[in-house]
Parts: sequence; C-alpha cells; structure tokens
Amino acid sequence: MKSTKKIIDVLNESKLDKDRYELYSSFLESNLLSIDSETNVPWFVKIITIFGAWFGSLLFLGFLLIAQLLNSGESMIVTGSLFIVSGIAISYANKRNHLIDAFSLSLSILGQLLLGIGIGSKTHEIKIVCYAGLIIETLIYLFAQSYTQKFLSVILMPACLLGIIWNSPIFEATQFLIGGLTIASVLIWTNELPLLIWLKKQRYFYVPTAYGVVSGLLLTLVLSINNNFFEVNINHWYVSSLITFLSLSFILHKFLCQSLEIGKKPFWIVIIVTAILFAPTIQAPGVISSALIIILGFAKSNRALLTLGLIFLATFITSFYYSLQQTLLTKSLILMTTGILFLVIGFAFGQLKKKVAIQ
Amino acid sequence: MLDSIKNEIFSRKVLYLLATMEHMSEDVLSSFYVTAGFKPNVQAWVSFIAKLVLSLGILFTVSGVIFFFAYNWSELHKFAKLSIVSVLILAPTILALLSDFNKFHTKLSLLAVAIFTGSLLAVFGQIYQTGANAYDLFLNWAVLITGIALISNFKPLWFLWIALINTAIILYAGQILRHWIDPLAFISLFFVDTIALLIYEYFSFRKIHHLDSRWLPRILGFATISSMTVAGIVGIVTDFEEFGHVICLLFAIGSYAASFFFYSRKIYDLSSIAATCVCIIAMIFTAVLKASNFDAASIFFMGGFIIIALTIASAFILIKINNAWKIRV
Repeated sequence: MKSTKKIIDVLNESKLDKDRYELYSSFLESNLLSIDSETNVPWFVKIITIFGAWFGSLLFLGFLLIAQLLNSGESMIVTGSLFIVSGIAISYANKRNHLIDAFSLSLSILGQLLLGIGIGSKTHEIKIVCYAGLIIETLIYLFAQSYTQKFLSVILMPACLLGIIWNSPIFEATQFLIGGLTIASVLIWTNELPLLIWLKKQRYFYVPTAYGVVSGLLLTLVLSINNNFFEVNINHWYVSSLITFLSLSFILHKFLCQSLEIGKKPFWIVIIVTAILFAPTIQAPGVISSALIIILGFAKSNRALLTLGLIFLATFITSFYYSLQQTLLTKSLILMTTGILFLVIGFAFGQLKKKVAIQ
Repeated sequence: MLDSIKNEIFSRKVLYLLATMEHMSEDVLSSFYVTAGFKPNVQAWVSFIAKLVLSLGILFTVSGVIFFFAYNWSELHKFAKLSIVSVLILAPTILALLSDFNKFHTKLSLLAVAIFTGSLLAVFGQIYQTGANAYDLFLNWAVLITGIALISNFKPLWFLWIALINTAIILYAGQILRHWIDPLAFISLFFVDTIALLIYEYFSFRKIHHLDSRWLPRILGFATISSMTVAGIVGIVTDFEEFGHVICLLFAIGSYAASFFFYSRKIYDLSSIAATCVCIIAMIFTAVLKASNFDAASIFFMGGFIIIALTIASAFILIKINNAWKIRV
C-alpha cells in the first residue's frame, strides 16, 4: 500500500528524456531537503501538537476565568479576536520552526474559545455563536498559512452549520450536510492530482481540506449512532445512506471500470452485492460511509484514510447492533447470517484471487 | 543526485512537492503516481477485499454466536451448552489442521479457536459454579491458548494472549490483593509487557519479514511505559506511601530513556517515542500540580503553560530525531 520504490527508481522507470530527468532530479534535490517542516512531520507529531495546544489552551482559559481577568463578554471578544489574528499572523512566520507553528495554533484555539464564550455570554444564543464561528473558521481557512489550523477549521465549519440548525424545524437538512461532505470527500480524493496541479501555488489548501472533509464527515455521522443518546430529532437517515451509496457506486465505477477496465457485468454484480450488504444498515449511514472511506483509502493507497475508515466502521457497526430494537436471539441470527454471507463472499474472492494470479 | 535524495522513498510528500513545479502537468504527475505504485492493480483489489470480507465474516459470526449464547442460556441443558462450545472449538481446529498454516484463513481459524476457548471456560465456570475469581478465568484462558499462540505466527493472536495475561494480573490485584493500584501488579505488568516487547524487537531487529508491521510493538511499548507512568503518578499523588511506587517511578524513568535510545538509534519508530513524550508530559504535569498542592488557580495557570511548553518541546525533539534518522539512512 505504501510506496516502496525509491525516488531514483521511479525517475528511471518513468522513461524520461535526459532534460526532464535533470529538471526533476535537480528540483527534488534543491527542494526536498529544505521543504517546510510541516509536511516533513509524521502525523502523530501533529496530533500531539493539536492535543497539547487544546489542553494547554483550555487550562489557560480556565485560569483567565478563575482570576476574573476576563469578566465581561466584551473583554473576551476583544482578547479572543486579538489571539485569532495573532495566530493567523504568526502562521506566516518561518515554517521550519515548529515551536512557532505550535504557538500560533495555541493562540488560534484559545482565541476561538474566548470569542465563542464572549459572544455566548452577550447574546445567550448558541445560533449567533455558530454564525460567528462560521465566519471565523472561513477566515482562518482562507488566510492561515498552517495545515493544522486549516484542518481544524474545515472540521469546525460543519459543526457550526449543525449548531445553526440544531433542533430546528430544518434539522433534517443535516442529511444534506452529510451528503455534501460525502460528495466533497469523493470529489476531492478522486481528483487529487488535478487539484494538486491547480493549487500548486496554494499548497496549504489541499491536504488539510482533503483530510478535514473526511474527518468532518465521520464525526458528524456520530450523531446517527443513537438517537436517544444525542436527543437528535432525525428519523430519515436513509437519505444520507442513499447519497453515500451513490457516491460509493461512483468511486467503484471510477476505480474498477475506468482505471482497471473491468467489464460492466462484474461491476454491476459488485454494486448489487454492495446494495444487499448495506441494505440492513440503511438507517445507520455511518456504516456505509466508513466503508466508502476504506475503499477510497485503499484505492488511493492512503493508509491514514484506510485506518480512519476501519476505526469508524468498527464503532458504527458496534453501535448499530447494540441499538437494534430486537431480542438477543434475533440479533444473533442477523449477525451469524451476515457473518456467513461475508465468509462465502470472502472465499469466492479467495478463489478469484487464485484465478487472477494465474492470469 | 545526492545519495540522501536517491535513497528516499517516493512518498506522497514527494508527489505533492513535484506538483508545485512550475510546468508540471497532470499527465506527468499521473505517470509518477502510477510508476511509484500508488495505484493498486486488480490482484491487489481482490486480495484486499478478500481479507477485509473474511475478517468481517469471522467477527460477525463469532459475535452472533456470543449473542446466541446470551439469549438461550437459561433454557439450555448443561451438556448442550458444553457441546455447542466444544463444536465451535473443534470446527476451526479441523479447518486449521487441514489447511496450510501460512494461509490467512488458517490463522483466522486459530484466532477463533483461541476466542472460543475463553467461551468454554466461562460456560464451565457458570454451569459448575466453581466459585473461581474472574482472574482465574483469564489466567487459565491464557495458559490454554499458549500453544496456539506460539505456533500461529499471527500477531492478533499474540495480542490476545498478552491482553489476557495483563487482564489476569489487573484482576488479581483487585480481587485477591484487594488493592487495584498495588505496585506489585504494576511491576508485574511492566515485566510481562517488556519481555514480550524485547522478544518481538529482537526478531524484528534481525529483519524477519513478517515482523515488519509495527502496531503490536507500539501497543506493547505504550502498555509498558504507561503502566509505570500510572504507578509513578499514583506515587506522586500519595506521597510515595508505598515504597513500590518509588521503584515504579525509577522503572518509568528508565523505560523513557530506553525508549528514546532504542527507537531513535536502533529501530526507527517515532510513534513509540511520541507515546513516551506523552507519558513524560503526564508525569511532569502531575508533579507540578502536587508541588502547587492542587491549588485551582495554579492548576489552570501553570498547567496551561506547562502543557504547551512540554508539547512544543516534544514536537521539537521528535522532529530532530526524525531528521537525524533521515540523514543517517
């Protein structure tokens, strides 16, 4: 799944003429070592940075409140805005210095918390906080020169939209938010290369948007886990499931038919089997969405997407069966039947694997 | 071309970097993408779907069986209960014996045997009301599947086996010693996990192919370090009333140093070092809170700065190690 080929092997195998070979190798030589430190950093370092910034910011915020240094809504709004602007400004600084990046992230998070609490204390309306949040996250997304800040803003934008429509008559519009995130995830990842070329001078946009949209989708789908637990008045989850199924069909067509040139008959067999497999979980769109992310992750050889999909698939399947309004006997029969069906399909693919290997 | 560039793997980072070139076209970038092996072929697709679906099938079937038992339990005769579980153990055993041990479905069968062995013990204990403690169940379960774990050469089964031993130790502390945070229990956990980790890393260091994946040693490493970290934190909070917590603290410091040394110089694993950093942050944070007598304002004020400072320091160290390893390679 991960590429195991070295740069020199890929350049040699690409059958480039001498000029192009020199052009690409000299570009890589001059840029790879001096690439900004954000893309050079493993993902768990970024996770530690984000959690550390969050936790530290919350504690510092708690101190400001306990010490009554921010005892009015106005002081919180002003201080929060200053922190956010500082966080964006510092993100333009020297990228090789991770200390600065972590510091700008902490300022940004603290600023957003202060601004949100300040507006909330003045207006006592969660919707107004969410409207403000939407504007702030959009500004951060457009102007911050930081992968992490943009990533967080992409995740928080759907959260703000949800807050605006929470428990209102149009709360079922959440389906279309989820549908929109699903379609966005599919389009962003299937058009990875064209988007990279198009955004070549705006390199801080693609990666955080691509991962942020997927993460935002899976986190929003947590609402579908258990209606009673979240007191969510959404009953027609099948709308999200249908949109996701259509998106899954699209990517299967793109990767199987267009890329691998598999015939129409096998493709339709795959679609029908997929529909049968996911039909029982139509009111739990998290299951099919996680499967879509897994397929996307494998098709793009992206281990992070694959892992994310697997973790959320386990979560959504567990919660689906837990919350089924059936006796334990019925649940056991459903599970065993599904299990046997999977095993039959698995063995069929095992036989197909031998056939393909021979060919 | 510099050796360090030549030998670098053509990762997604390199692809993204090439995309920023002035006259880079989609066709050229696509050809690099395909040549680098990012596009799975038909065989890879079939293999992936087969493994995924097979794994889901085993998990669903096993879960279904467990739910079935839960429903029918009170009505079944005791011999029927024992027979059903015995059949569930025999069926995958026969499948495993008749198949090639290196095949994936054989390994999954052995995993099913191991899981159902636990079911058999639970059923037996419930029917005959042996009065055994829960730790007995997990300990006996671990002992019974030792042979299967050793011959299976399957990392999920090794994980199950070690998890059972760990659970037995924790339950022993709670049920027999009646002291959940007993230092002896923590030290036992530490030794069990450390021995397992050392064995794995020894063979991994010798470049045994199927030990390439790092998820199991990372979990073991985190379990090793976190057990001593928790014990150390308990010691700090309780002013080291029990001398065992002092030993745990010393082991914690030793394991932090060992983790940094080993995973930055011998086997490159930055995530294990990152987990160590998280534990160090937790330890230092607790020590500072204790020093401030858990005063609310101090917790929030100093705590915020300390967490941010330690996180920044951790990120700095991790990047330095990452870059140093790259130059070395």
